Amino acid sequence: MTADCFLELDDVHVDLPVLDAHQRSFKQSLLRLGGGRLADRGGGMVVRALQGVSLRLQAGDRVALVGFNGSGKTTLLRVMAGILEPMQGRVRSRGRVVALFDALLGIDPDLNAYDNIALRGALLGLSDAEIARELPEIERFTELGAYLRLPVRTYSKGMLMRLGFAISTAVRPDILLIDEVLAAGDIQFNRRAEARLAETLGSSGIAVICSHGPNLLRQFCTSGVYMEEGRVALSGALEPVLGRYTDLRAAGAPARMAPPLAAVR
Amino acid sequence: MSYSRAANDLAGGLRAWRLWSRLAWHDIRGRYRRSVLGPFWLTLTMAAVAVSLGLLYSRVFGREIAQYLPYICAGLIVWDTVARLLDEGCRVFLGSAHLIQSMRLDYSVLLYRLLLDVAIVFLHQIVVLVAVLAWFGQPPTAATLLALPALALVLANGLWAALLLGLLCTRFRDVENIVRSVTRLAVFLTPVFWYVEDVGRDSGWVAWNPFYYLLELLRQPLLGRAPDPALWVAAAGAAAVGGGLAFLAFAHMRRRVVYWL
Repeated sequence: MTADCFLELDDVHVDLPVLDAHQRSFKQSLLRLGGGRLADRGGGMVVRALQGVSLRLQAGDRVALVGFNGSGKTTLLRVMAGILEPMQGRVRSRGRVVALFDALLGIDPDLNAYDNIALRGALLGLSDAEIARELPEIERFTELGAYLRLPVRTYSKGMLMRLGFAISTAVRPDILLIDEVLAAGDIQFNRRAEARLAETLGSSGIAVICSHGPNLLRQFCTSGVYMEEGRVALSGALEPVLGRYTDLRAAGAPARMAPPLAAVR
Repeated sequence: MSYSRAANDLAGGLRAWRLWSRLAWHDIRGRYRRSVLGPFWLTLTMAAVAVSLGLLYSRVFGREIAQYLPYICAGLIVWDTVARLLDEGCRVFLGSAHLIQSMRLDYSVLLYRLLLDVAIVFLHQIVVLVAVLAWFGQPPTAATLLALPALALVLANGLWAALLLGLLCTRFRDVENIVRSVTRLAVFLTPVFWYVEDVGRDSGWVAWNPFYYLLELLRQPLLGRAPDPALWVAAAGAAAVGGGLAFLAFAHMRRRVVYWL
């Protein structure tokens, strides 16, 4: 663990291009190039997913990320994870970033749990020795027993969740980014998952949790960020932020999304 | 800025050798699982193709079987390697879209994984050539060792081609079909089945065919002969020029890849 980990976003803009079939075609693009300026360029659309987001997170921060669908939460998490490089603005971070977006990432249905643990562990950057060290804990958490030796395609959805979650949280991250991972589990699983998360996070490190469930957020988070139309509409102490979000939700306010714009080429 | 990031990606990917070697083995095991014969499948398929085509075409072309069968066997194995690099190079990013979208990853990891996968398949298939050469009593020579640097050069050219095609195919979805059509045709236009002597080395069909140089460079040492020095120059030159080109493209398009998926 790095005690002085941080994550900084400075005026981050992300436009997601929406390419249509014509723009996806090499032949069409060549024809357009040859056709000169008079040819119909058929400008595509972009979605302004993030518009000037600036955030400064430091060790110990537990941030709840809330907002309606399409407000830019997932895009923001992807920028934080280094998956999306913003077209404008800067992202700086120190510490091991682990994104827990899809608990089932890299899970191969034909392999048994042990092979999947090895595969997924490698994806998460764990060495063989680290995987071996974490294995007993993973086995205990999943409670899968003899099923661990069966191909995971024989598992129920809940069993898969337990396995994926156990492997993902075996890495000791400095900066943990979570996107709705707990959505599919049952109540009992959620309780155990929450306990494991708390243990994984420890006291230092940064966590950003995106969820629609206020209870989960209240348990883990100390501050909040409310997103609207790709902007940070409100940030700071947890309760005011959660209050704003839940009030709007209760009032049945329509989701406010940034409208797609014609591409400026 | 974008150049140093592209260079960091290529170097960082190399350092993550644990990851791509595991992914490549996973790909190979996937191939095994899909067939009853498991590990032997890749070998047996090549054996069946090489022997049947060898028996038939040695008569079509009126060649001695002891000479023709090793020739076509080596040719088919090398061609399969080249075609695999191109065809699968097209999908190097598209095929791992989910991975790219869900975690921060040096994209070059996917390239090295592809190269290792292709190299392992090559080793499975080379068994057939060893058996064929033993059958006709043609022992390896000192020149056989040159197959190693030749294979390295083929893979080096595969690396840049896969990178360039991978980027293009992610942006333009019809490029993959174009590439497949080209590789399917090129196997007949390249001296895999026929001999260069029959059309002449200076013929445009040979001289202007980039695949010819790579094929011949690796096939000659596999058959125990030292390749012509010009072939080394051509392959190394292509690797240098193509590598530079692919690096420029990578530097400019790398961060766009995830947006295009």
